[in-house]
Amino acid sequence: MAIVAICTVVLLFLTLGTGLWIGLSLVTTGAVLMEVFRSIPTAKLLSQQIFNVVSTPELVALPLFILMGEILFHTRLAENLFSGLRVWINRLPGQLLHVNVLACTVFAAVSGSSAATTATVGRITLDELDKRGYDGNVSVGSLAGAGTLGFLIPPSLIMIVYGVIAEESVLKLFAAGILPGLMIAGLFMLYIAGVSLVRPKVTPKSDEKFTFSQKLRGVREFGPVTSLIVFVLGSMYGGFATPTEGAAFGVLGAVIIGVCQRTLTISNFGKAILSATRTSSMVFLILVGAVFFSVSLGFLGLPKFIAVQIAGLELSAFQLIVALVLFYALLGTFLDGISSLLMTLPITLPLVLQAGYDKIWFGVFIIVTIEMAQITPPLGFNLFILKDMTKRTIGQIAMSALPFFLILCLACLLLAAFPSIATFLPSIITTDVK
Amino acid sequence: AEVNWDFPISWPENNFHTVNATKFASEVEKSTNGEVIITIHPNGSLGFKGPEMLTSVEQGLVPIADIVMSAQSGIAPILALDTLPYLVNDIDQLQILYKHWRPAVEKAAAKHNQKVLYMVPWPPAMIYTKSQVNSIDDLKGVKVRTYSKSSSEMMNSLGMTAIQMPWGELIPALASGAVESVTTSAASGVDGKLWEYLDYMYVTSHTWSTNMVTVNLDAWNALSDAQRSTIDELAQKLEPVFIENALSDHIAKLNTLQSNGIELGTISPDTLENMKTLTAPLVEKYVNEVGAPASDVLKKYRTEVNG
Amino acid sequence: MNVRKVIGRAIRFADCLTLAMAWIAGGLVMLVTILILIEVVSRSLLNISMAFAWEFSSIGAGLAMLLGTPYAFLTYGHIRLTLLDEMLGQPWASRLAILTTVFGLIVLVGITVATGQLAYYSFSRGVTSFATDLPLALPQAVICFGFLAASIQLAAALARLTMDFDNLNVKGVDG
Ligand code: NA
Ligand code: NA
Repeated sequence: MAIVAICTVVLLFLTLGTGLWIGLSLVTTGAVLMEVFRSIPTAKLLSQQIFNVVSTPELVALPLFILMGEILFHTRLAENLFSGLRVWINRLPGQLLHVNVLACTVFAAVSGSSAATTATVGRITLDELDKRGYDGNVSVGSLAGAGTLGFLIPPSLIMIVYGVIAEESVLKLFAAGILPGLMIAGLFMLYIAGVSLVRPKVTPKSDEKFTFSQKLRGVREFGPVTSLIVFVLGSMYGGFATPTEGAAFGVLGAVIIGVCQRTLTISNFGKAILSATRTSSMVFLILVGAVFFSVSLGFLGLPKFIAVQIAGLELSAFQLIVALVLFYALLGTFLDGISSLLMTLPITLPLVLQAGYDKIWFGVFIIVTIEMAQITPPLGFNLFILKDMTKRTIGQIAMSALPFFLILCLACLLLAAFPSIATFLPSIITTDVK
Repeated sequence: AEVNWDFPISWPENNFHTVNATKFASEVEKSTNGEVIITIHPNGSLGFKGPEMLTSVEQGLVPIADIVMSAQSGIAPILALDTLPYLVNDIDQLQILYKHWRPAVEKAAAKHNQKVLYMVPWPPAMIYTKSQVNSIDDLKGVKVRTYSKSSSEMMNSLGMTAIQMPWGELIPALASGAVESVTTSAASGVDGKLWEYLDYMYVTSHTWSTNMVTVNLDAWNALSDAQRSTIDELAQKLEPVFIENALSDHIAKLNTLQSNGIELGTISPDTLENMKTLTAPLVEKYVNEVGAPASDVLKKYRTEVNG
Repeated sequence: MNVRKVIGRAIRFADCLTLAMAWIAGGLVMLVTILILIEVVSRSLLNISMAFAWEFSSIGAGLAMLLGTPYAFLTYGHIRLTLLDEMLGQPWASRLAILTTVFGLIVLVGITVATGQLAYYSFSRGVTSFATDLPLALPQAVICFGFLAASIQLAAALARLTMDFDNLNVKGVDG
C-alpha cells in the first residue's frame, strides 16, 4: 500500500505541478494508477464514471445557481443591497466586509452546496466591495470561508449522504447544522471586525452618520434581495419544490428582478449565459477528474487503508478527534467531500461512537472538516470558483483564506469541547413534522 | 495464486443485502483457504449507481456485483419480471416464480458474460401515507414518490400522482409536503426514518424486486475447477439462508416502523381487488413488450400457482 | 503561406464551434430551468407530474456543463496551477505551456475515444434508461462529441501557442 501511496503523490505532483489542467491531472493520475495496480479496463471505467457524473441529479442545482448569480450581477441588486446595508453597519468595525459572511449565511439556507454558495454570493459582492475600496484579501478570504457554510446550514446535500450512511435522521442533522453554522459565521465576523480594528486600511474611511429615517429608508433597499430569498425559500418550504427544484425558482426570480429594474437587456442576458457556462464547465471538468480519481483510490483501497490504520492506533477520545480532523483535511486535499465520506465512514463512524461521541455530533463535525478541505490547495472547490472570479492565483486565494481555515479549525475544537452546540437543537425538536 | 475481487454494493453496511454479501465473502475466503478474497465496497462508494451494474460486470469493470434486477429493464427486460403488479402475492409464490424464472435469468446473464451466484428478494412493497386509506378513493391525487417507470405507471394507474425523484430529494420534499406518500420496502422505510414524516403504512405487496449477485465469466473461468465448485456450492447453500434473512429483516423492520409510531394498516379486500383490476393492464403491456421469454415463464408459473 | 492559411481557417472553425456549443450549453440550462418550473407548477396545480422531468433535467444540466468545456478552454476558464510557470519565467513558461497542452490534448483524445466506445456499446445493445426508456446512446454520443470539441479547441490552442496565431476575438465575457 505504501507503493500505491507514493505513486499517487508523485503522479499528482508531476501532473499538477507542471500545470496540466486540474481535472485532466486527476483523470491521468487515476488512469495510471488503475493501469498499473489493477487489471480493469480503465477506459471503460472512466467513460462509465463520466456518464454517471453527467446524469447525476445532485448536480442540477449547480449550473442553475451559477446562472442566477450571473444574472443578478447585471441587476442593481448588489448596489441596493450594499447601500441598504451601509446605513446600518457603517459603524461596525469592518463595515461592508461583513457582507460576504451575511450573504453566504443567508444563501446557504437556499442552496445545498458550497460551490454554488460561493459562486453566487461572489458574483454579487466581490466587484462591489472592490469598487468601494475594501481590502481584497479579506473580502476574498471571507467569501472562501463563508461559502463553505452551504454544507452546514440546511438544506445540505452532504448531510443527506451522511444521514443515509450513518442511518441517522436527516431532519435532526439539518437542525444540528444550524447553530454551528451561525457560530462559525459569528466567528468569521468577529475576525473581520478584529482585523479592521488592527489594520484600519482594510476598509475605506467612513465618518458618515445616518439618521433613523435614513436607516428606515435603507430597509426598502433590501426589497429585491429579500423578495428573491423569500421566493426561493417559499417554493421549498411551501411544499412546492425540492431544494434542487428551488434553484430553478432562483433563476426565474433573478430574471424577474432584472426585467423589473430594466437592467436585464438581451445583451446582458447573453453575457450572463456565457459567463455561467464558463464557470459551470470549469467546475464540471474538475469534478469529473475528482470522481474518477476517488473511484480509482476506492478500488485501490487507499483511504480505507489509512482509516484502518487510525483505528489500529487505539487513541484516546481527544486524540482520535485530532487524528480525524487531520485525516479528513488531508483526504479533502484531493478528494471531494462526498467521496471521502462514502469510502471511510464505515470505519471511522464506529470508532467515534465507541469513543462516546454522538452520531449527530459527528455528522456536524465531519462536515466542518469537509468545509476546511474546500479551501485548502491544491484541490479546493471554493478556491477554484474564486480563481475564476478574481485575477488571483490559487496560492494567493489560499493565503487569503488561511485565517478562515484556522477559524474552522477552532470551530472543530469548540465542537469537541462543547458538543451541545451541535446536539442542542436536534434534542429539542420533536421529530414530529407530520 | 491469490485472487482479489472488488464487490461493489449500493446499500449501507447494515442493509441485509450487504450483510449477506459480507457473509458470502467471508465464507468464500474460508472455504478456498484464502485463495479467493472478496472485498465488499458498500454505500456505492465505487461510484456505480445501479442501472449500469449489469454492463459493468459484463465489461469486467468489476468481477462481481450486487445487481438490482429490475433496474436492468433497459438492457434485459426479462430481469424485471418480478415487478409486475400482483403477480406474486407471498413468499411461497415468489419461490415458485424463482423456480421457473431462474433459467431465463441465467440465460440473460450469460448473454451479458456473467454467471448468477445467488438471488435474494427485497421484502414486499409497501405504500406509506399521511392519512388512512379506507378505500381506493383515498389514494386519488396523493403525491407519491416512485423510483422507476414501472412503479410510476403502477401508482398512476391507482389514481395517485407519481413523482419520480431521487432519494436525496425525497427527505426535504417529505418535510415540506411536496410529497405525501412513498412506495418502497420496509427496510428503506427504516433507512429513511419515514416515521418522521408519515403515519400509515400498508403492505400492499403490489410488486416485488430481486437482487442478484453475479460474477463476470472471464473472472469465473480464471478460477480453478475446485474453486469454482466450492463457490458454486456455497452460493447454493447460502441462498436459502439469505432469503430467510430478507424475510426476517422485513418483520424486524416492520416492528421498528411500528414502534416509532407508524400505524400498520390493512387494505380492505375491496380496495385490493380494485388495485389488482386497475394495474392489470400493465402486465399485459409488459408481456407484449418482452414477448415469448416472459410469457413462457408466466405460463409455467401460473399453472403451478393455480393448479 | 498556404499551409498557414489552412491552419488559420481550422482555428477559426474550432473557435466558432466552441462558441456555438457554449450557446447551446446556455440554452440547455435555460431549458432545464423551464422544464423544472413547468414540472413544479403542473404538479402543484394540476396534480400531473412528468415522469421524465428528473432524468431529463439531470442529463440536461450535466450535458450543459460538459458542452461548455471547449469554451472554458478558449477563455482560459479551466484551472491549472501556475506555480512552476512563475518560478521559471520566460521562455520556459511558454515551453511548459506547449508541453502541458500536448499532454492535455492526448488525455482529451483518450477520453473522447473512451466515451465514444461507451456510446457505441449502448447503441449496439439498444440500452435504454431505467427511469424513462431514453436510449442512453443519445446522451453518451453528445458526451463524446463534447470531448471531441474540447480536443479540437485544445489543438487550436496548441497551434496558437506554437505558430503565433491570434485568438478569435471572443465577445461577451467579462473577466
Ligand atoms: Na445549505
Ligand atoms: Na482541499
